[in-house]
Amino acid sequence: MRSRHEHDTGSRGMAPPSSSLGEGQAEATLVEDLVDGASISEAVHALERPGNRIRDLVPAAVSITVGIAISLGSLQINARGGQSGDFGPSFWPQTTALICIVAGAVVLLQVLLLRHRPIEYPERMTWRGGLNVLATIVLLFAYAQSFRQLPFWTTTFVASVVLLYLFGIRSWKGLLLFPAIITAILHFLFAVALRVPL
Amino acid sequence: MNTLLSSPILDGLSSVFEPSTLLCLVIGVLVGMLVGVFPGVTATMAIALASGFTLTLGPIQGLAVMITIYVSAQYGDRIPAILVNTPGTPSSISSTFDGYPLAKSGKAGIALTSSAFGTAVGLICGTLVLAIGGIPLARLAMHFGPAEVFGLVVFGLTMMVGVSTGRIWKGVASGAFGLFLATVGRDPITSVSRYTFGINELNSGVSFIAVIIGLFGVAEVINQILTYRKSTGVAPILQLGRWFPDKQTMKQLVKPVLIGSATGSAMGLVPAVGGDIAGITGWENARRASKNKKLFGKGSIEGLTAGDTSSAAVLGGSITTTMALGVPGDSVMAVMIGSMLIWGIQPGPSLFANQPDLVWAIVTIMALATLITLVLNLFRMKSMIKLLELPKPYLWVIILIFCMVGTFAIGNSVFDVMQMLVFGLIGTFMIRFGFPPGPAVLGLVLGPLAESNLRRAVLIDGWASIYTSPIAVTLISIALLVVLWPLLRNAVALFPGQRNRAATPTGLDS
Repeated sequence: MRSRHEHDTGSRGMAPPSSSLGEGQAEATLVEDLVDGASISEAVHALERPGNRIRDLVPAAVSITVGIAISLGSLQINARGGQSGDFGPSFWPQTTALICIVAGAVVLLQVLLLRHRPIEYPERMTWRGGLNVLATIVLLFAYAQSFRQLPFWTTTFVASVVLLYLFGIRSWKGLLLFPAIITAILHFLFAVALRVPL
Repeated sequence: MNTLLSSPILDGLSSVFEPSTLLCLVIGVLVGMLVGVFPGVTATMAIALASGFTLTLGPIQGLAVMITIYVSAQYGDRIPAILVNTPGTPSSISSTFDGYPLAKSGKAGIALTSSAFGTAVGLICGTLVLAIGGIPLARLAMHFGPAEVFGLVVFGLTMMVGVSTGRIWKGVASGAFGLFLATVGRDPITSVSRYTFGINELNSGVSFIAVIIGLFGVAEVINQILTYRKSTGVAPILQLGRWFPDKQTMKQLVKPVLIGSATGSAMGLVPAVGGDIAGITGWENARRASKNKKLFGKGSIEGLTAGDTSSAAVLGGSITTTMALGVPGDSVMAVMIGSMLIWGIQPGPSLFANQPDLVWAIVTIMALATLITLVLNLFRMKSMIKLLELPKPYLWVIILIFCMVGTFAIGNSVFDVMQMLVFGLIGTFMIRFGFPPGPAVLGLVLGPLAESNLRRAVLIDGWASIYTSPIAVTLISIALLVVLWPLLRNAVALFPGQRNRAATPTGLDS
């Protein structure tokens, strides 16, 4: 469950189990889910949308493909130093490849065989969001390339302004004052406090 | 008495009360509060970012920053949960059950302060767990050989997978991916290059900081940008009403706080059980023991306090198992272990033997962070509340720029920044398609430990060294059971006559 720490997307607050289900059922469901290790919020508030079989197969396909790629890559590892054989340098990568492939196969079987499960998907993306992400990635790659070529604080200020404009900010305070404050804080933090050269 | 006067405790205390460490503590408290207040910014993300910033500091100062972020985020995340019905971090999911209804009925102030008190008590209990339980646990683990350590690593990995989001097999794949990432670089035994593709920078492996900042920082922001809609969102409740609870309310809180403390402290010792499960379990336990069951979920101060106390108490147990066994109990601890390794600190049983002063320093940091954040919450929380109105784009830019600069600052390496961006895209894919990133980080941290211990055990005594060790067999058996049980349950459900039985609401075993 702790991994949900990582991709909490600020999901809206959850009503407690008893308010969305009958009280006895809620209690039983909650305890069962805790025992089974299922997500409580998912158990109670599964966002059910019509299943998308192709989308559901993507994780399985990726997992199997990654496993195969790792396995093929392990063939390139040359054993040296008398460690060839079962437990040489390629042993552990091959083990992880096998786990990936098996996990992907299990996911595939579950998608194909378990037809009556509620489907849960993350919040839908928007077209505007997709374009913004593409532009953001291009900008960040360019920003990274500029680290050694151009004055650091200038590129940081410009990158902040462009990002804010991309995300819809139009006020002068937002486009000029805010990037200036970020740049100043970074300068203080790295150049002054931590004395890290940038 | 000897324990109190023994030098590791005094050494630990004195290292924390240095001005530089205290300053780091205060910075960590402020950052942690901010992290908790903003939904979508998690403690893991903040600590991953802080890992990059704190590498130039000493270990105590760096730990002071990271641990206090972890501690104070436990307070800050209750604010949006109570005022906006949005948990600041998953640990505050249970806070929304009763916190928001209390706020709607004009009792937001009492809800916030009661939550702060409960959280403080939970954190202190967790700190006591570390202080008292750490040494016996470490002594037990001192007897572990390579086979037992391998079993422990498998157990830790699968526990996180087993309770992570219910998507067990995607978690297994994620963990395996992390284990694979740990193989990039040179083989620890033969020094043969693995998966470096001729890139010199990869000879020392992937950059741990770049991976965690990418997976937890960049990925989360990209996902938020992808799904952002201006029209969504709940306006925060800003009318707080009475601030401090009266004596009668305080008396009401004693029982739920005790229940929450016991629940969270016990659950914290189990790897991978996080504040979210503990909070909800604490809430449920308090409801069963309460005379006002019907009020739970509709604005019960007991429910709010029990959940918050429980989710906070988990921290101590989590840090205890991480420090004593060397197996991180959650993503936050996985990130912290990674940073500790960079500082040359090896968590595990030998830490208590070789550096007991460090352990006591961590206890002191947790206790101080708890008290400082409590005082800050009680007297300055109202100004934090205004931050809830900050539009998300500003937050995204802050995080992205800090991710870029922080990663570059580690080694002045553009390659590290590129790695971070690549892992940011990988992390976004993982979020969108249900792969939990936590097991991947755990695999990255534990991979070298697992590989070296397994190969060592097998090379010395063959596979018999694994299956003749009762501890290793027990741990691996539990791990297999955790992973296979839902499959077996689903397989039974496929039989005719079993289909109409109520499956679990999610059935999410992938």
